[in-house]
Amino acid sequence: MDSSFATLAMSTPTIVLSYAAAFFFVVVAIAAAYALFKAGGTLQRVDTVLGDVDREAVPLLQKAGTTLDGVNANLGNVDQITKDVADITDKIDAMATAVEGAVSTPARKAASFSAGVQGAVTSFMRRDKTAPAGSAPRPAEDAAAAWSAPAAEQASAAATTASKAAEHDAPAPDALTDEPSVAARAGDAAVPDAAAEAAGPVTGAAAAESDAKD
Amino acid sequence: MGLSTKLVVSGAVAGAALSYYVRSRHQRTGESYLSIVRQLPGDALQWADDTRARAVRALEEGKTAARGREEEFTRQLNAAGAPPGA
Repeated sequence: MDSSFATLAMSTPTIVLSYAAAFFFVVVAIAAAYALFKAGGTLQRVDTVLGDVDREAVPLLQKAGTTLDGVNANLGNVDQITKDVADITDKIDAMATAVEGAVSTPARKAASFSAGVQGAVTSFMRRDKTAPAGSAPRPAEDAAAAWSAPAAEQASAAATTASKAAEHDAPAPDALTDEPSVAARAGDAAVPDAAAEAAGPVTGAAAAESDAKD
Repeated sequence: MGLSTKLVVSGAVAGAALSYYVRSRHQRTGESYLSIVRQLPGDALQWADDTRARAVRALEEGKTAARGREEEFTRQLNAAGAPPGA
């Protein structure tokens, strides 16, 4: 009896451990089965999603390819439009340059011509006292213009005297053919001098005033 | 109008102009008519010389003014066509 009790006492923990292990493995098996069941469901859904993707992605990609082809075609059109606009801009630039050259050159010439004509007319109309050829008769005219009544007789007499002297010094044919201007200028220059001298300070002052006006 | 008529009309006009000039100069200067008529060729030559000299001087000044205006115009065009800050 003691031996069987000892044997029973010694084998009890082993049995307990065996039952515990069995229970543990059963629990683990149940948990694993549950996990595998869930994984199977998940994989089933993944398979379904992949099937949907395979069924719908290919037409979508085809549509995307078609859209990209259209976009490329439109980009080609935009590129062509850009080139045309660049060509038009170049042509407009060339045309503007040509118009500028065609307009500015005649305008510049016209402005220069008008300025030249204006300057020439102004210079021609301006009385210059330093003019060598035109300065001689002017004092005579000015002195004669300032001719006054009291000195009229003396001036007339002096002019007549000077005319006679010039006529006597320079013969008539020579004055009209070879050197007419010399004789005439001599007579013309002699007349105002004599007239100025005969007219006195009044006529001289008037002549100086006339010169100052010129 | 025949040639003789033209000559007569021209002579009449020239005579009238000469008479007017002589009379006006006589009234201005008091010189005798003979003296004025005798000085006419000299006056005409002096007027021609004076006009010729003034014309030559006016031509030169006109050329100078035209060159100056053209240079100014060219400078203004270049300044207008230049980029800002140039």
